[in-house]
Amino acid sequence: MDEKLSKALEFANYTRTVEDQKTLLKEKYFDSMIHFQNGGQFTVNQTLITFVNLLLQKNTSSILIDDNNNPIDVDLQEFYDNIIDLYFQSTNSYFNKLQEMKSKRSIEKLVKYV
Amino acid sequence: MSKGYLLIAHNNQSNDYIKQAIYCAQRIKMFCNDASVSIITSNSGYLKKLLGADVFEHVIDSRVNNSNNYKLSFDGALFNKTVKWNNAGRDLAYDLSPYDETILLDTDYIISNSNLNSCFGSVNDFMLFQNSKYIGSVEVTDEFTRCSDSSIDFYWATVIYFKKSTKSKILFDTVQHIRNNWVYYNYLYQINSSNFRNDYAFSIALHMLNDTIATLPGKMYYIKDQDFLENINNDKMIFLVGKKDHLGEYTLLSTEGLNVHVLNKSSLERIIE
Repeated sequence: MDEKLSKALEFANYTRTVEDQKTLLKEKYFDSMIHFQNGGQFTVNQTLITFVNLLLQKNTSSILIDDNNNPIDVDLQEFYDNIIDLYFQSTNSYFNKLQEMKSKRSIEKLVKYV
Repeated sequence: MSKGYLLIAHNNQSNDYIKQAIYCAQRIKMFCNDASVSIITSNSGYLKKLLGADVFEHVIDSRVNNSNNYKLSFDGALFNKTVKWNNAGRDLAYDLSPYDETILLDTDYIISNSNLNSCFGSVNDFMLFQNSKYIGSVEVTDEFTRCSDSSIDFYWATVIYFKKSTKSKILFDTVQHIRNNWVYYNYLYQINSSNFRNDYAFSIALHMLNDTIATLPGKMYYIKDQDFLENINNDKMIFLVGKKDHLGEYTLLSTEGLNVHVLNKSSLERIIE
């Protein structure tokens, strides 16, 4: 096979793997952004954080609707502290892992095979 | 309230589900704070012989059989064989479970984080996965979105959280009724599968009960039996997943801290050994 073509195919395999690994990192990030409290299951995102922060200005406790549409009674300050912690932990980890991935220049290093 | 994980393992001529169950239980204990794990099996003698019984809190003997189930089982894209497949008895889990709150798992669902542990204490009576994601880059068709083109929504029976309650009891009893009348329900729901399959039976039961369905957190990640599990090291797994339009060619992939349903049971068994 032509050397240029062989290099192009090798690079195509590499970029495919980069995209796949990025997708899996993103999936892991979303997986980690779920908070459980008082039997409820909440996906943590900017909307939830802002909404809880807003509620905190009026009340100390409130009923929140979880991912499965269950009404859950929560202490707002405790809930807010928990979700903000989770948000920072997960997004920082996601960012660091992505940065680390960018420095890997071979498929073997990308998937940590070596 | 007692809580724990429950596995069901019935060996066939092709796969050693008991070895898979022991491995699965060890991983549950590793990642889920030494949680209690029990097993329902028709091979308890073999389990004791393997010295694997210690990992289980309860070994429950059950001999349900659906000997007419056969399926084409792949080991990578280029090798397949027809195997006898005993998937009956999942509907008995409610009555046989020693726990008030149970997470029922397939033995080929490889745990690499503690997310499922958070389900204990849920306000829901039962939860299953509806969303799933194939970890390879090849687009997967609607196979796991609906039971068939003209049928109902698909739910996975691979992982089921349930607590002992009237609602859960009704669900499992309905699944049992569907299993006993599979030919009828297969036609009624236009599923077109000669084999009884738990995913379909639970999907039909959920549809019949017409209740709000709570789903487990996140997605169920899986590889197909045309792919390979290559290596496992703590929470890291390495896979070879099939390339699109290139039969028998694979892309290397790794996951870290993700639970993955490994449909290629033979490749899982090679890793376990």
